[in-house]
Amino acid sequence: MAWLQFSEETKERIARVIGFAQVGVHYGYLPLIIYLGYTRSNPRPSLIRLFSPLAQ
Amino acid sequence: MAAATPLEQPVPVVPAGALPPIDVTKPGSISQPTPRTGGIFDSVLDTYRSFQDRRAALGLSNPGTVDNIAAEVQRNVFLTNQTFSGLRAELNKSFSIAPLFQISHAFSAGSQMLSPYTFLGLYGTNNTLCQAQLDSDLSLSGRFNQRITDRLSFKSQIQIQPSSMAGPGAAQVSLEQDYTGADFSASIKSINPSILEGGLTGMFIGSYLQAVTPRLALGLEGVLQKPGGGMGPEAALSYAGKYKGDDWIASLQLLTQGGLQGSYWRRLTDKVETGVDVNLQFAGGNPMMGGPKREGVATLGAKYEFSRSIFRAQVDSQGKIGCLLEKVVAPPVRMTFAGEMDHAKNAAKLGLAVSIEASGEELMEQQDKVLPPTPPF
Repeated sequence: MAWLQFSEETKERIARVIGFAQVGVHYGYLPLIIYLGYTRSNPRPSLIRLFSPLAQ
Repeated sequence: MAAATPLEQPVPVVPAGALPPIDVTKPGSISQPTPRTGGIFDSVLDTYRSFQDRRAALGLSNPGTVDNIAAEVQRNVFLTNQTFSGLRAELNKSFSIAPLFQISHAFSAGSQMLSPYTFLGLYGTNNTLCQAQLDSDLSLSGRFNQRITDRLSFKSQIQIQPSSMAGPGAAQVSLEQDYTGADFSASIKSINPSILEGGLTGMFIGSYLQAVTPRLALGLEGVLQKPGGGMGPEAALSYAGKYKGDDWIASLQLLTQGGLQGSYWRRLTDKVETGVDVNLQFAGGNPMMGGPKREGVATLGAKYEFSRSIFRAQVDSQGKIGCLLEKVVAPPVRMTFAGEMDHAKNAAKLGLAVSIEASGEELMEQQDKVLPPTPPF
């Protein structure tokens, strides 16, 4: 698989991009889901109900 | 031009009289006439089409997937994934039905497996499912599934543990393509694929299950593991078969590396289901022990569905007894009691969980009017 051989520089760059993507997914995916759900749900819930386990 | 002559030879075509009569009552069993192109493609297409017509005339249904070949026993009857220990409290909030939007807070105490607090969010439409679960030690497990067409769907899963005192961070990604055909299921799955460590590395799983008759389905699954760092690839193949009776299902899975798993599920009445599962290992295990390790576990389980509760019990040949009782106290409040005794190890586990469904009154009214979406789980 000669076409899969990268230079060290490219490998480092890809690894760095994957590292950033991992951090992005780690801290961004759950907020994304909440944003999607909050903006698209019908009726739109209040923010306090969204996050607090106690609010009814 | 001499090289082109073999192509022009007529391809043997099955004569139309030899085919079984096509069932005209089923739509789709008759193919549309397509424009003749002239040449070799017509005969190839005719053969293909007559094959498809005969296949459709058999009236087979989708057999499920190889992964779920024993799901009736292992997921429905047994308490494999549902047992827990310690105290748990769960608060589920539904905010919307279409699109599906749910948030869940789970608190847990006295368990080594579950973290003290877990926050879960789920968003689903007919074509998309997004789910993420964040524990109080900041480890995330997320799923993203997308239905590309009616039959083809893409599923991905990610698990990230941050680096902490206990160890370095770790991440696992799995990507899966599922095709659900009319009478077969095929999927390709890759776990942690990478091209950085010299060639393609990771774990790749391909599986295929085909309905042969309306009751019998046969399939196989191949696993290819390519670790990096100069180690050679490892491959394993397993064969699977499933037979569906009127009120029973039997399945058998043979791992060529030395394992056999058989299961039998039966519905005794419409409220009671039972299942038996036998797992035999002929080889593998720890190579340090010397010689192939032989062991087997047989498990017997039963599930009773009462009007407001579900009771599951199971006993296995290693001396483990377990039971799980789910009871709906009032419609929004559900209690679960789990108990397990391991006689061989002289250990016991007890668990009690309370789960509360909180949804607004507007949602209750909506529930009857709006059809909930079916995200690709």
